[in-house]
Amino acid sequence: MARNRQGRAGGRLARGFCFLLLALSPLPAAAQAPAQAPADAEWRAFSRRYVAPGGRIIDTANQGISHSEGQGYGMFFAVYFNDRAAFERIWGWTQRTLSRRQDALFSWRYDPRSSFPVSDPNNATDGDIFIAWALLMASERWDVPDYRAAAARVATAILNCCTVEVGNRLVLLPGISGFQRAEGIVVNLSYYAFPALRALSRVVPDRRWARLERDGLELIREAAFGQPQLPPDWLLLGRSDERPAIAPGWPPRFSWDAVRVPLNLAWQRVDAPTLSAANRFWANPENPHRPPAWIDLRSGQMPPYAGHAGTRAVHALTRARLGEASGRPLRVADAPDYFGAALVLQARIAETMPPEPPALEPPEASPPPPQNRWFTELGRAVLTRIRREDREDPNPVTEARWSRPDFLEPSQVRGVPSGLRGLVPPR
Amino acid sequence: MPALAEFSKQYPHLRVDIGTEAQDVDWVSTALQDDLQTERPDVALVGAAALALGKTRGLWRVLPAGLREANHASMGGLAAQMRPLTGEEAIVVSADPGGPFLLHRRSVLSEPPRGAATLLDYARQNPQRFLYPRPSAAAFGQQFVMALPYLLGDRNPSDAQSGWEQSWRWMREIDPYVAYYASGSGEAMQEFSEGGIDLLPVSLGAFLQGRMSGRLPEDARLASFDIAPAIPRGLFLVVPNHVPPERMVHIEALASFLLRPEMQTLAFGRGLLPAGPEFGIDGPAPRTDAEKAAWDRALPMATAVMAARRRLSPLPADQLAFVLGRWDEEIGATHNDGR
Repeated sequence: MARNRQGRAGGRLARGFCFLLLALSPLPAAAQAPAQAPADAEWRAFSRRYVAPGGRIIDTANQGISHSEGQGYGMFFAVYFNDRAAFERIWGWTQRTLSRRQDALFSWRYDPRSSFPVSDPNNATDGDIFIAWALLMASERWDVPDYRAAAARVATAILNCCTVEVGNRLVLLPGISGFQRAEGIVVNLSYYAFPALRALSRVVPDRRWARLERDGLELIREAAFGQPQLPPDWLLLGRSDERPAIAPGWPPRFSWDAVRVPLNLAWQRVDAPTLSAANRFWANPENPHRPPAWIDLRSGQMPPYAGHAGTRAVHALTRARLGEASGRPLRVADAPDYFGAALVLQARIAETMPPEPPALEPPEASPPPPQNRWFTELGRAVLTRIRREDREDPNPVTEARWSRPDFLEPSQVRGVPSGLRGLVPPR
Repeated sequence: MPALAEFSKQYPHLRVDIGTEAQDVDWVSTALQDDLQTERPDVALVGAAALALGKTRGLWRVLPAGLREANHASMGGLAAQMRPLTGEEAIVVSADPGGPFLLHRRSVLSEPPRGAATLLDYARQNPQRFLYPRPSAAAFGQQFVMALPYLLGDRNPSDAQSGWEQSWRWMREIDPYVAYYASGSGEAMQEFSEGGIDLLPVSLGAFLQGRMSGRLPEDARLASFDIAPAIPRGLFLVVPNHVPPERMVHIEALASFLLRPEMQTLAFGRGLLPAGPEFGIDGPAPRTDAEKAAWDRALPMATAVMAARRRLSPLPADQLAFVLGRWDEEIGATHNDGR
């Protein structure tokens, strides 16, 4: 049993390595005019629609609730557009309202009309990732050490609380509670915001960031379901065989969560099969409504309406990454709601934002010193004299190598009750 | 907030922690600060939405009768007008005599619509050129929505649950032509000032403030609806339930301090609200020559639009809370601008 298990794992590792090489190969240059970064007016448009004066990001399609995902997006946009006042308002509200007492993470949901506005203490890892990334960017842009320290606390908590070993994979948990089930681990692949994961290694150097990227990319490649060979919103990683399956309990769809998988791949300029599969699905001329808002990966059913501007923006980014013409840039005003607008803005930013370098990987921990230290040091001194190694090395080895994972975005889904994105009628 | 800084300066021995809903409140706070339980302030200064939502949740304690009576004495008719909303749990510390009025630019729209039907027609013919802010986040939105039953002749304007059939239908009908629902009154004013929309329901005080600050285009004008009443908006002082009775003496000192005429000039309107007993507020004069000049230019228009308005109370807290919730669920959550 043990050998078989090792064999499977080794094979998977080998496949994963090959895939990683392929995945990190550069994408073809877009065969069109260079994309332009979104103008400040786009941030103003987002802010006027979705940022309440106190810094709360309003999810307009979900009865005006808020979540850590939206707060993270808002903070990220504010720092990207160099709006420090807005950043401080949004971060201030997030800290005051969503901070969890037991760690540096954030409760995922806020309902302004509830007697207990933060009734579920669980976190959403995608929200935490964006909050940490935005804090790191803010610390670098405005030279605020406190933001960097806060980013480090959140990033450390993400690694320590929201990652789990499944076989030889390191998997990102969607939240601390509720996703490690008897039958397996529930994973949301859209939470793997690869540029963010890479960036966070700058503030918390740790080999796990690169592992999350490598194993996440492998999972995305394996999670190809249905005719379009696309990932579902929610994935189950079985405990017995560690094979990915569509998670029970959620609609078996490629929809409002999974739309961010190609976004994250394209953002980090990763040439993964999923990117091409998404492009084929969205552009398929046989679909009556293009791009389709979603597809049931089991039945092939699609809704009788097209995806909104957010879907179209991710499709445009995907096309651009694959070297196709992507058409007129979409605007925040084209989106009908908060989530669509957030997708538009992310896709626009992703198109021109420089890619994050690979995550920093600190060196392996040194083996413990031998017991007879005096004897060892004496022997080393003798060897040094013999080999003349006492000269200063003109090219010292850096202590750490950076590789950068991307980050993931949060999704608002936390179980099946109201607010589940997959169940919200899209428009 | 200058008035609060002045209070701390003049009464250093009285320590009153004041919670507001936004750190940058300069006129009326607009969203419920939910950190009352963690930061435990002695006092919260809140807008109508926060007052109503907090009241329905039982967050506020009943204020002493003497404090409420003193409020009526100092704020005159406006405090009485807002009594259905304030009840026994809040006092008015600053007020704007009314809205909604339609802000427009004379050079773009010389004759704005003055009724619900004509506004709907205008919006259909000029899609995305009109908006109103989200009622749960903005006083402009609250005033506009509360005035709709009067504009449309609804059966019972004070019963939003069963007496607003035409209003709810009208909001759904105009939805595809609304540019978007702004997340705050200030945001909506900015959009108007930049020319992104042609029509915006605002309050009288906000118009005057925009005039004094120079943020509004020179040809911006205020039009009144033919039959809509003027509904006041205010900033309210409430006391969270956790505050012990012995703190009330400090809170009363703060309240009376905020209601002094000289403090009213510092707070929110800077004395630029319509003055005189007919408006319920005695506002001192503007502080600079430029403000005085702007005030003199704007006052006739403000007086004219207020003159013929009926002054009505805002909805009671439970009804306002219902409106905010239903609007978020039925209008805001399904907004489709038709594109």
